[in-house]
Amino acid sequence: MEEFDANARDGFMSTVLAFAFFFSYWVLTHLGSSSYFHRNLRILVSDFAMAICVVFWTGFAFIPGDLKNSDVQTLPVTTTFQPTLPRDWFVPFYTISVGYVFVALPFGLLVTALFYFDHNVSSLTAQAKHYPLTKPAGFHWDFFLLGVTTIVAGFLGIPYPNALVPQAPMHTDSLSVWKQVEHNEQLNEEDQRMHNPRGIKRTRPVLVSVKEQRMSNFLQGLLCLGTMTHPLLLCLGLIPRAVLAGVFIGVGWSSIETNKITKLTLWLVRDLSLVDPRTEPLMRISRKQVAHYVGYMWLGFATTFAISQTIAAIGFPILILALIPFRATWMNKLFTQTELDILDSPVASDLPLESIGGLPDCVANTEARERLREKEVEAGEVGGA
Amino acid sequence: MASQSKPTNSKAYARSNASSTSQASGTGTAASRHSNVNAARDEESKTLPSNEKASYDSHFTSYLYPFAGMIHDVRVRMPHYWSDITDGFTYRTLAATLRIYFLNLIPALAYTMDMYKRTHQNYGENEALLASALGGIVFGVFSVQPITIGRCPSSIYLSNVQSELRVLLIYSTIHPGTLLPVGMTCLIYHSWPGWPSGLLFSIGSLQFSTLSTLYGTSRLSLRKHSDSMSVSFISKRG
Repeated sequence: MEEFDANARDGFMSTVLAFAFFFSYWVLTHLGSSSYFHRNLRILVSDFAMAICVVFWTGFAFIPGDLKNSDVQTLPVTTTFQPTLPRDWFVPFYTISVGYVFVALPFGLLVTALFYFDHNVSSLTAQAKHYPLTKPAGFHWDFFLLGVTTIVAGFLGIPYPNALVPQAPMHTDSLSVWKQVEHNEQLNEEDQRMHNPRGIKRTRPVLVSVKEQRMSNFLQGLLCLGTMTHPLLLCLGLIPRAVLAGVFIGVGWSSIETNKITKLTLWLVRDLSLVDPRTEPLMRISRKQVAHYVGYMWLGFATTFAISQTIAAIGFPILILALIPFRATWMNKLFTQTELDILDSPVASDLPLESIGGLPDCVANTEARERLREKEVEAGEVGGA
Repeated sequence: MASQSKPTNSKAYARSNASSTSQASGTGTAASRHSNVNAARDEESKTLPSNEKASYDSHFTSYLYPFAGMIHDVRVRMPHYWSDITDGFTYRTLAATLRIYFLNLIPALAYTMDMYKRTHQNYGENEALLASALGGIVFGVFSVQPITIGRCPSSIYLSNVQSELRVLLIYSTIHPGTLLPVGMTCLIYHSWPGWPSGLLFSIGSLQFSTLSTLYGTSRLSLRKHSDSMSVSFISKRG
């Protein structure tokens, strides 16, 4: 809320702009899954929602009159392809005294821990279960690459790039191909004549494939490089900071909306008599256990969020890594295996996990464990024969 | 049995795994691919003592065989490389590129404003853009899971940099005379943590990434992470 530093009117204008942006972005992205307009138009609009909103609300802030007079803050810009400080791109890192090198060591370890799970999480959520992926994954090689980019970034004196959580699954989302297939429940002939005399086919969207390719990643990298040229930097200088704030709200909200914590918390206050038990596996667990589980989630969330707001935020990676043994040991004692299968199923499907050898025994769910046992039996039989 | 004969037979295992995966890669759908793998595995199991495909304690994930995991990854993905490029010429790629470009650019810019202040003007817009470009291009061209997007990092990373600077200031007051010309100092300094981060090399090569399976299953901690991410996304605004 730094916009309020200037004066009340500008600050208010910025807030309005941010929320207006968020609202329009939300509406446009949800249009894609609604039933309004032609299907192609829906897809087009939700694909370019971000671009449309940024351009529109940036323009909105420059409409002459009161809007233009209220001075919303924009971004500071630099010159083409030049570092912000007057320096060469290559940083003479060897000119530093030895003491600093050792002081840098613990920070490097923290960054390593942070990147380690950041990269893991984004790779796994980008290849989560519900995406029908066919191409194999590999975690070892990507960590190696991450090491290379980190060292190169150190040489160039730029922030270290890594994969980040909300963007990675959104990328997979936008690469997904949905197809309209005929609805399972077709009306019988009498109902058809009564209610649907014009014979409109009922369809439902099905996620058929994901365009697994490397062009989009590469191209957006090139676009970023292209943005470093002067005319485009000037354009960026026009974007009000409030619009950026709106983007943050939009991205944050879309991941809260689909979150497991949100879902389970809302489950606790749901009227169970109105739920179809066939589609909701949570019906099989007692509500008390769900509450118990959600309690741990909120506890973990509260600590991680609290720590990220203070200077202790550098300890964030350690805390998150510490949650893993907690899940693997303590949670197994508190909950039965069936409960954990429903509440806490693996994020990624078997295909990406194949490259790291599947799941370790202590966390594998019943299904995976049975598959493993079958495999072992098979192996034993063959070995015996 | 498998564990006893592992060292001597490691090469044979590697070959069998490679051949089974390359056979499988030709087919289209996930289901047929799976059955194909099974078929290949059945065939090979007649000639080999063990038919485990990269199981959790196979040599791909063992510390005794450095680089095995990396080589495996590349070998498995290699047959798909050409299709990775040709599959890219569709409308979906265009849409995804633009969407991710904005999703990358705008938060990166917003963080840049923060970063610009907190790092005493060492990092500005061009640095953030170059970092995003570096991540995108390197991961787009070389990675084995190009679907994962690389970009300029987040607020937690920032607070790391910030506390680095704080320590740097403390250190320079204790040892006066060791400080470099102000401005460049923190950049030079910040290139050093890059080296331990090269530890990621060893994560890749020594197969520490097996631990990530734990992470993969632990939806709990994952949710916590993404949740606090999204909330800090919202609270970061303005």
